[in-house]
Amino acid sequence: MSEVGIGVIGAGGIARNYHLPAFQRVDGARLIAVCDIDEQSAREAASRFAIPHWTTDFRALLRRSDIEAVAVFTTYHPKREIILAAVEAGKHVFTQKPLAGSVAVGEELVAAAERANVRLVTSFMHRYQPESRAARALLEAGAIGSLDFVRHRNATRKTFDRAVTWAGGVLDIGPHGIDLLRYLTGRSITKVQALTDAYSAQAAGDLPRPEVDAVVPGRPVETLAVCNYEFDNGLLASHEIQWTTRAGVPQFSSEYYGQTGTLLLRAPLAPGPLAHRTASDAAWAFPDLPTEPTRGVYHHQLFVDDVRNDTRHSASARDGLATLRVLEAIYVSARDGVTVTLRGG
Amino acid sequence: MSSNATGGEIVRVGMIGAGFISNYHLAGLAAVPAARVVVIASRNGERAARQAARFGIPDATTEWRAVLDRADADAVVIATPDDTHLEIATAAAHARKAILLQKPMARNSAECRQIVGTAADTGVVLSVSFMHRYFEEVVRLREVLAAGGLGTIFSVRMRNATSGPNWNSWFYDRAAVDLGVVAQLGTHGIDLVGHLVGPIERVQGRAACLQTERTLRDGTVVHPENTDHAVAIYQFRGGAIGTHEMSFAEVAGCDRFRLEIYGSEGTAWLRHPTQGLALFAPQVVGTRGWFVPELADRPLGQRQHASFIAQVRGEEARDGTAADGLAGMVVAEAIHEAARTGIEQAVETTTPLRD
Repeated sequence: MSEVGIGVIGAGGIARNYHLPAFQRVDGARLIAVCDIDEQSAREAASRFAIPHWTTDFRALLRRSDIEAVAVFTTYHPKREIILAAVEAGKHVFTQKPLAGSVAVGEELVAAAERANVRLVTSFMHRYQPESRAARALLEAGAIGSLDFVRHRNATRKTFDRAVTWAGGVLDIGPHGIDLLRYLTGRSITKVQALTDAYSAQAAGDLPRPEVDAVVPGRPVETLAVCNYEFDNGLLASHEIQWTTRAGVPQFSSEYYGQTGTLLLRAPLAPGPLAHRTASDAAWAFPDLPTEPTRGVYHHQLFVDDVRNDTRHSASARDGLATLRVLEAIYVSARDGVTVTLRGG
Repeated sequence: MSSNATGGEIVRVGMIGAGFISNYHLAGLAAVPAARVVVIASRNGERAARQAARFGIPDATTEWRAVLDRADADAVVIATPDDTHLEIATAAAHARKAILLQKPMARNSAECRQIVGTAADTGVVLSVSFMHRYFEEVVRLREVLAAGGLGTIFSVRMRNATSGPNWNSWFYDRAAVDLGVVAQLGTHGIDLVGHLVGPIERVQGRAACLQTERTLRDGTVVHPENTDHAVAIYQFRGGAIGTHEMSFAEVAGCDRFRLEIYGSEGTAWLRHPTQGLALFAPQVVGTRGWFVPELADRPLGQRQHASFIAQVRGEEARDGTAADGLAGMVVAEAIHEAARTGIEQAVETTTPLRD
């Protein structure tokens, strides 16, 4: 196909600040239409990003034959309905994490996408940060030998009151870390242990709850989680998820401990976002990182190229589902005090 | 001779153990004017003699009991393998010597309880050597926390990692160190987070032996029977949670330990790879930004040994490390049990001890 026509559903903050500027800069793709339930938002996005068509009706967008792929950036409550309709309309889907609010819905979406033979790609954007790409290359080249231990931290600066809207830290920002761990290690998580706080259990009684229960009925919203993971090859990992963080603490930070050296991604206060050291080095090295015209271009180009060329370099539908399995394992472990064993996580 | 020297008297110390860690104790004691090391004992006579020459200790022996028999020893430092701590500390307490005991206190909580009980019965000072508490950056951090500089503590991250002891094989022998890295190295961090944040009430954990063959400094090849990697997660009393990594295969990323504390009003990083202590604590620092405080440059070990000697002289209150050492061992065993069963463990509250 010559150019991939893209329809965007959901024109909120992450779309305007990250996805739309990136799609604009990608080769071989054209933004055709944008949809938002709020007419004002749809119009403004169309105007700002020179998108020829806008609508408040996602089904109208899905009926367009000049759209081959849809990018879904809504909150997850409407995602199931939208993604099922998109897949049934034969459109490839690119969507923000988490893929769904539960493993059950995730399985339903993945099965539908496989039946329709379309891509269902979760936008695990942390994979494509320059330091992540460089780290992956170094790890694959054996720069620190085989891994013993990984430590990952996810944080956000959203305020506490929005924890309820987004159904908690584990669901909202946990997927970034879980996917990055799987992607950079190339392994799957087989055991999960977790402890969390229970923010909404402590929260004032007048905070709205219905949308939380719609996601995972009866589960309290948490703003802090600490997790132990074991991978299929025995590698151990520590994962901390914090809803709000102060003082320029990075949104993610990673430490990879290998048999011959260490990699640090986004070490706080370090001179560079990637630091590398082996036993024989006197000091930390800060490798050169790839550049891109604007944040996320590499990530979005990868998806467009997968659609154009029928390749599979982006995160797969099963990658999105694997993350959901780990999320649910975290909830179960924290609630029941057990170690959850996963297959294919 | 009473276990408490009084007035302006010098505290005379017997060093039991002449291995690697004895250097820390001997250098620390040398920096304390009120202390004098009168004898050193080691099974290895050559090592004892070497340390005696190096640190100007008048006497060396291969018999630790001989140290306890001496009327001119007021206190002992016990820095021998873990599986000898119970016997030596018990004898030292009965001999009415004040005791500075290396960590881990003993092989398990039952042995720790015995040691603590004997010390209580005999009234001797018993201090457990949690040396990290006395590092200048830790002392400063504790002051900031006490002043409410970070507000309510949300979470703490502890990492204890070294390349693994390479000077002796007993570290890797299950009979001597059943709990492996958790007991040998993790107890530092368990104590430190308890010291800074508060009591641990629940734990979950996983452990592994990832380096199944090691070559020691002298070329001996060992096949460890215990664990060299562990991850634990903690629920603290009061609501904070924590993560703790323990590794005996650190290559280049961590200088013995690293600590991060996240609070409602600020954040602190300790021994981060690119600088020492970094604080974001506007309420105590006065500015809204990261701050790297200047720390005093005292000889390593001086603070700790000055405190021990002062306790022996009755000038300072006992430091509570005996009870903390027992509590830490209970946590270490809970981690081990969690790793073994996969089930989250409640940490049993230790019964209050006479002091």
